[in-house]
Amino acid sequence: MLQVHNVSKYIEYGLVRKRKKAIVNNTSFSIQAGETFGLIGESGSGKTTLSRMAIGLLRPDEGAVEFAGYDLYSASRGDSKLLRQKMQMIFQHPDTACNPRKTLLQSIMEPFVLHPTLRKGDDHEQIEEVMNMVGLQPELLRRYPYQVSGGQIQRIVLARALLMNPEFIVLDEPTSMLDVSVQAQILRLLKHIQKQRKMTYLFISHDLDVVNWMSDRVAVMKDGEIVETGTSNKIMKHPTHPYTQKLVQAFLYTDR
Amino acid sequence: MIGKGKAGAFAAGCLGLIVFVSLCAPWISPYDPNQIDMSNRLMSLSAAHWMGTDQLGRDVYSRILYGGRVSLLLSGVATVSTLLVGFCIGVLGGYFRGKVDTCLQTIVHIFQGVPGLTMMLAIVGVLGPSLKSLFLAIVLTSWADFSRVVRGEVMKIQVEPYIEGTRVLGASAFYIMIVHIIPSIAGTVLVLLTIRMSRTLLMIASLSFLGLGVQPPTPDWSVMLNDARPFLRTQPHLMLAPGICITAVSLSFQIIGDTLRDRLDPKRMQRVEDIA
Repeated sequence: MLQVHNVSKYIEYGLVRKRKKAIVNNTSFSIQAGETFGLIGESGSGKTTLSRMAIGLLRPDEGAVEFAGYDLYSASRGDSKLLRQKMQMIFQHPDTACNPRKTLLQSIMEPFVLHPTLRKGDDHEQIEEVMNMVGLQPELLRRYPYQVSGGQIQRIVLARALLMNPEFIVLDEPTSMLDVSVQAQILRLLKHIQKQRKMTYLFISHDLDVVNWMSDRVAVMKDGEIVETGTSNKIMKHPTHPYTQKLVQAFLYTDR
Repeated sequence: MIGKGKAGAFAAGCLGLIVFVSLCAPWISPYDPNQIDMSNRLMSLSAAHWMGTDQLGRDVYSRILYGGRVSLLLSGVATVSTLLVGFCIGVLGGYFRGKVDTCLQTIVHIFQGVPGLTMMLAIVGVLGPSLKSLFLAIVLTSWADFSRVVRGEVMKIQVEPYIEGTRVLGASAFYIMIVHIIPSIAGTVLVLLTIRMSRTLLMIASLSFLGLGVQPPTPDWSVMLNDARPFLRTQPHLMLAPGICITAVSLSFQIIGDTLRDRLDPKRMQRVEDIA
């Protein structure tokens, strides 16, 4: 469904001599329809940059991204609009995920404003449906973002993404800012919705436990490169790359 | 905080009164502000002439009532125009970054590199003293500062996750700017606007005082200030009256700006004052 071919992203720095540093270096991976692909790595390893390139938010300096047969960065205007609708992303920080000056209803209505074709008769019915799906009362939408909890915001952002009828969602550490009990609820919800809507996930985290539980396959990222890919079971039990081994080891020591 | 609110209300009232008086000057002034009466020149305060008369026998009180019209109108129009220019350029640069921003910032730096008063004197000197050249001088010297503040604010808002979130939904740059960015920086811009009004008024006053701004015999506070110079020792009220008016308006704008800043967002706006 999603193929990422040899993408790289560089930053330039230096005062006199421009030097290039790769944030993501010549990386490829592909995601099958219906699976959850986990991406794990420490902060600064390029997970977020890679995922932003995969979803079409950030043009790679080299390489190409293909989604459902379309090249993301050379698609026509009409095609990109359609692709945009099929790929959604949930971000890490719930406290800034919605415009603080607008009510949550205004925020959740945005898909309708931007894509009038998504409207199917009654807006409120559609919103009620997705709100029920994420387990929230539609009345909550009358409030402003600072009046609800982080877990609720993440649910609302998810509901908004669902309104777009996406086939593919990038989850960029969606639960890392939430406390553990809420985290578990959201993850369970995500799995449930995936089954119901037959969606594909790219799940990013630095938490091995969470990634392992969520994902079918896992890629381990270090310094801008994917060093190992495999089923989550294989990564956890038989890691081959030294970095993965270290990661799994450290995890076993701290959490068990 | 309460004290500040009261100060703000007082400043707003004071400014409102001055604007009202300036608007209604033709109906409330007892004399024609340009009526010369050489037999009654340099009179002290009296019942007939509340604020005395100047060196040509014109009624100072009437001239004070009229005196705010040109300055206030010009500073209002000039500040809003400055704002529009600076705002557009700031938003464009802040949003699009890259080459667009580099080009715009180069121009901004050039304008910021020239000392304000020198540039104003040069512009007015070349174009000749008139309201038009005064207006041009103000806009050209002030837009750059504006655009930098706006650019900074746009850049700050632009990296907020909710902007990226909207982009994921398929929003165009134009939509994001109109719906998310501009309303978010409106408060900052409003504060900047009021504080800038005071600066512009003082700019006009200083240029007029130098003889390059509003021209006599137009009744204007700064012109009156200049006219009264030779009589400072004998008739100090000739200078005091317009001086107090200019100070009052400038101070009012300043206080209103301060109050708005505190009210709108105490933490975020602190920076605006430093630049304005």
